[in-house]
Amino acid sequence: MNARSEIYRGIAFAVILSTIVAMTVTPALAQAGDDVSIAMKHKKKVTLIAVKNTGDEPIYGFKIKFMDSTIKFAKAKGWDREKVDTSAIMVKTSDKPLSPGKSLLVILIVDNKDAPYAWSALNAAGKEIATGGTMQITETQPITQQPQPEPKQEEKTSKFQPTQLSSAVTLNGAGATFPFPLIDKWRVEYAKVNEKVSINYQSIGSGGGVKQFIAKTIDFGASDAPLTEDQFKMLKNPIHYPETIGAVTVTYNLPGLDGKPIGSGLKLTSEMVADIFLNKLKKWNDVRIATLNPEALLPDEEIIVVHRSDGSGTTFVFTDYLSTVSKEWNDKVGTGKAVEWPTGIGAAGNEGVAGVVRQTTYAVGYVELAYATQTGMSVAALENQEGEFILPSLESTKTAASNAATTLPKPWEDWSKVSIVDAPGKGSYPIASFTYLLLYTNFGEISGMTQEKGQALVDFLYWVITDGQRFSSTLEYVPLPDGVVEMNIEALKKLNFNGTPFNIPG
Amino acid sequence: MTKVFSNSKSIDDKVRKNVFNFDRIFKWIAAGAAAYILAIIILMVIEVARGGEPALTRFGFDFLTGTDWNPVEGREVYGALPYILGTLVTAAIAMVIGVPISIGVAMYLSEMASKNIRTPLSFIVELLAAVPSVIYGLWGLFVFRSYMKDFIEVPLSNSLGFIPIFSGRPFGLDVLTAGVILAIMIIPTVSAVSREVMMAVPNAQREAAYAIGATKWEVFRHAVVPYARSGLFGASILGLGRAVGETMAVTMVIGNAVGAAALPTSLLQPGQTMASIIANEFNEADPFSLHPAALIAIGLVLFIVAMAINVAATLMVSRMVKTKGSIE
Repeated sequence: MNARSEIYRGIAFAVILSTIVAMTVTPALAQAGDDVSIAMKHKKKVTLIAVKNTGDEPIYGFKIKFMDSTIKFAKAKGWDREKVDTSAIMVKTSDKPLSPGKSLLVILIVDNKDAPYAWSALNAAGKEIATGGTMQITETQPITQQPQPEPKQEEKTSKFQPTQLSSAVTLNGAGATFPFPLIDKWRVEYAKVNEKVSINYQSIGSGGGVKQFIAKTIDFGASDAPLTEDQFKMLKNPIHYPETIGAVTVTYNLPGLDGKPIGSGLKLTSEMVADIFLNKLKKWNDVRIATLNPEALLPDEEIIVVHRSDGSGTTFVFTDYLSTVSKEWNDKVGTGKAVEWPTGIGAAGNEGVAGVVRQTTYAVGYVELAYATQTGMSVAALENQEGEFILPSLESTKTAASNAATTLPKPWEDWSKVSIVDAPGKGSYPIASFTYLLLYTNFGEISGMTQEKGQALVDFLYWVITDGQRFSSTLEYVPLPDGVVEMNIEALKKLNFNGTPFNIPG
Repeated sequence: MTKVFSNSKSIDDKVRKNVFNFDRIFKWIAAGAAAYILAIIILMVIEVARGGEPALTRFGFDFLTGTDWNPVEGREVYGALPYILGTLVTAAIAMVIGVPISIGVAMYLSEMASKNIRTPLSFIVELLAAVPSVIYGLWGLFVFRSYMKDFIEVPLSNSLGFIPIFSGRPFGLDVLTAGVILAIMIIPTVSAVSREVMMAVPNAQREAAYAIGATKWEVFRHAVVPYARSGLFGASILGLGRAVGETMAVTMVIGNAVGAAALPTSLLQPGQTMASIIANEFNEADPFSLHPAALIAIGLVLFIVAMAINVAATLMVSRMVKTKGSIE
């Protein structure tokens, strides 16, 4: 009896183990078992394509075209299919893209499985980002996506050579939570560029980052807001090193009179945005909104304002915008990471605001661009200085940053008054902000710094604003415009270790 | 013979001496454990008072009576009144709704339920007490909120909207929802303790009441409740303690207004409690401003309020035991 139960246990264990192995080693094949058997039952010719995303961008779809065959059926787990014509098919998804490094099994049922075919990978916008050319396929043949970096980026990639280090170093940073996903991506990617350097970044909040930077316990700080004038003077010319750009969107949940949600693009002037958050503009069908948006079926409902309840760089940027465009806002409320909101519901975090807006009809709130894009929320087109109504996007934010870049101080000057909200110029989206890395000009001031460690930090900083920028857009951060990159390189040349400058790579 | 006798005596002495020593050590260990609690409380008060001191000296008594809460650089004003009131109002709602239900649960479990029902049901009630507060918060935010809005708040607002405390357009994230969530959260604790208290009432009490022809309600009202009164009161205070200090669930459903907008003038408008404003703002409070000090000072006020409630409760319980401990 005992021996038998041992055997049963052994069998069970083996089954579980093999299932786990099968799931981890060949996830796509194991999951697709059912589909294959269905296909066999129908006596069609089946071909399986295992696709691995070796690029940097998530893939939202594949277009597959056969030369001498007709596609009867196609399937990929969790994806939709769309027949283009008898020989071409599209499998695509709106919410479960194939992330970089992940694999997916596409099952096709075709008349002639030996027929040559061509395929291409599509991004979220439906644009082709990689093609597989024409080739033969056999069952379960893995195909790798050829990354097609833009030529300009390739040029930059080839230039960068990190300085050889004699021993491993750890670079410590702390501060803002907003750029954390991007800095974390850089941490992972930079380890591939120079395995001797490890980056340790703690997202403790901008305030904490500045505090630690002043205490000189970290190698670099990070903050969404520039140092204040007093802090700047006290620290004797610290450097503001913009590493990426964020945008804040005004998002709403607004069913129209016909019951259908009013999508992105409701036009709002800056004065109207300020009045909504001041609780002066109270109804969605207010004559001011209605005049500007004659096509929208605006309901006769009160506007419910949603704001952040926690202190946040997003709030800082948004209130900076409101203070810039509205005198009344500036007098009554002002700019800060947490302010005395005249009205509205508070929710914690971007995801909190996004969640409350989505659950509450007639609500309006503000969230970072990434959250609005990822959750597909409706966003307002805001009026810029030129009188244009601009939808938030990576491009319009980058335009704003480029247009504002001409008036920026040098990185070693006082940035306390810098703000790129309500940027001038055509196509500028008005709520954008740099987020900064904070550096000492003389690295010798930081405890535990050496010439070699300083060089490793300079290498990393250079990589961040050049090669590192290509990770921005996949994570919905705005890449730095060229003017800012050049300015940053100038700043790198000023850095020194007790008077000895560093080599600037590239 | 004498040798043996004297030997045994010396062993006896040795043993006694050892026991005596160990007893003394044990006494000191136990005293140390008790002193530890005292030390923690004293250190906590000192530390919180020291942390909040800059804000308290700057704003003085206005910190308690002010309604403005402005952390913007150069305009800093901190007044805790909206949050103190928010805490008291939400806790009061929780008590008004939660305590009668809890005592009902306890009454059913101890007086009426058959053994087959009593054991699993008691177990479930105790299990509920172990649900983490963030779960209640998430459930409140994603599920309960819309029921509150559609079935309670909108009818309330439509029928009684002319009364100031029910004015404003309801959207489910407000003082009332927070109070109801708190009520749900304190029910398991209060009912579990109340049940224990009622079970401890001697059966002779009940039998005597039944013997003179009392109904179930009369037995409960005249034989069980008077005997268990101080215990039931203690159970309610335990619930009140939880309601006053609860942070996570409240933060998720109360709507987190700030400053004058957070004054709980209407139950159907967003508010804020002392615990929730600390949870919300402490993380990113600018270390160079008075903001962290103001938040710590709120912590001190919360500490004092919680302490005052407990002391008052203890006094009331002891008075009740003295005057109404026996059957009326």
